[in-house]
Amino acid sequence: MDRFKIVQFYALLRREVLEHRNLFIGAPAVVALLILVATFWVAMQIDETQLAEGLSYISVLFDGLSPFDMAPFFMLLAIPFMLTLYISSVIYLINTLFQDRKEMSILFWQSMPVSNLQTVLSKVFTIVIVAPIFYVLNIFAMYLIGMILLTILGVSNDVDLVGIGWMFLAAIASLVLIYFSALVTSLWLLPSIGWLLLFSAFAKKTPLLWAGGVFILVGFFEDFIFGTQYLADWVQSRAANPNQYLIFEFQSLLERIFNYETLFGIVVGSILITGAVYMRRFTD
Amino acid sequence: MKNIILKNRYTLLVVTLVVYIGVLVAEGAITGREVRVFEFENPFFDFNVNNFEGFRESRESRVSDDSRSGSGEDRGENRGENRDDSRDEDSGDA
Repeated sequence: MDRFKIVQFYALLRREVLEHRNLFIGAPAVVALLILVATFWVAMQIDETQLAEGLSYISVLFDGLSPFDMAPFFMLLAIPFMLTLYISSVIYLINTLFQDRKEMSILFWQSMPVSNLQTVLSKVFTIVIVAPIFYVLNIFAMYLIGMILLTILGVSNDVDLVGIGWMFLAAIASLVLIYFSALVTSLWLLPSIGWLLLFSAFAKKTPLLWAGGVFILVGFFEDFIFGTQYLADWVQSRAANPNQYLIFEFQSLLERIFNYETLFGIVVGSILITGAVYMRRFTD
Repeated sequence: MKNIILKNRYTLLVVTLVVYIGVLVAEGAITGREVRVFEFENPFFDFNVNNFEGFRESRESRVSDDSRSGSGEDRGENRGENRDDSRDEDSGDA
């Protein structure tokens, strides 16, 4: 790939982030702020000596333990961020190609030396690779502020802070798990990403209604024509159990990415994304 | 062929969905895909999405056993035994 193509793709990614900074930067920042305010409010309700005792207990708990072993504990704190990421992703995917046609900016972008394939791929890349980075950065900022507050509390109450340092390392290690969980989830749910993009490129109005309605209709027709329910089974088997795509230990990372189900999901998702690329030629 | 597929947005959508469903049905038929159910494991009851009817029946029989066994305290004490009984019945039926 030549340098011009890389610069082109970088510009497309930058455009996506700038146009949707509320979803990728604003939303997780608000979640982080809410968690910090809630934690601070709870801490204000507790007596300072009890707070210091709790802090020394946590310090002893984490002292000397491997950060990689303790990292999964911090995955719980990431749940609100992951939920926000999923909701933001659905909003982004269903609106992105639809909005281009609605405000007619599609004509501008098609007049530029950028293909439909590059544009659609930039949107997929934004959701799979780029958006989780901003979420992880927000979580990191939240951990940093939390650790500074804990350190101030520890110093003012003569608590041994070595364990708090270990806890911070475990929190940092958990960021890697959170990022790869978001990445694997995106790959695992690539058919859903393709489905939303296809209807975002197709619908003249209400793309979310089209995406939901056609899904139900297609399931009905499959049952009617083939007498099977593979679509419903497929969706249920992929969506029912989050353990299939959330990563709680570093050892299972490669296994989660390179398995038959994930790779088949990527193939099926690619069919729908190809449909979305061709659909972009209809600009009306 | 390409002209027909790309004639308008509707033909393209239909072709994309037909390919999508075709791949899913073919893969499902070849691999014998079955729904991977969510099993909610807990010490109080057995719940399996695939066997919802069985869950309802076992629950109804448990409730009727409880109502026959008398006071609220008895119900609490006998709950474990009844659950085991209903499990035995289920396994016997199977």
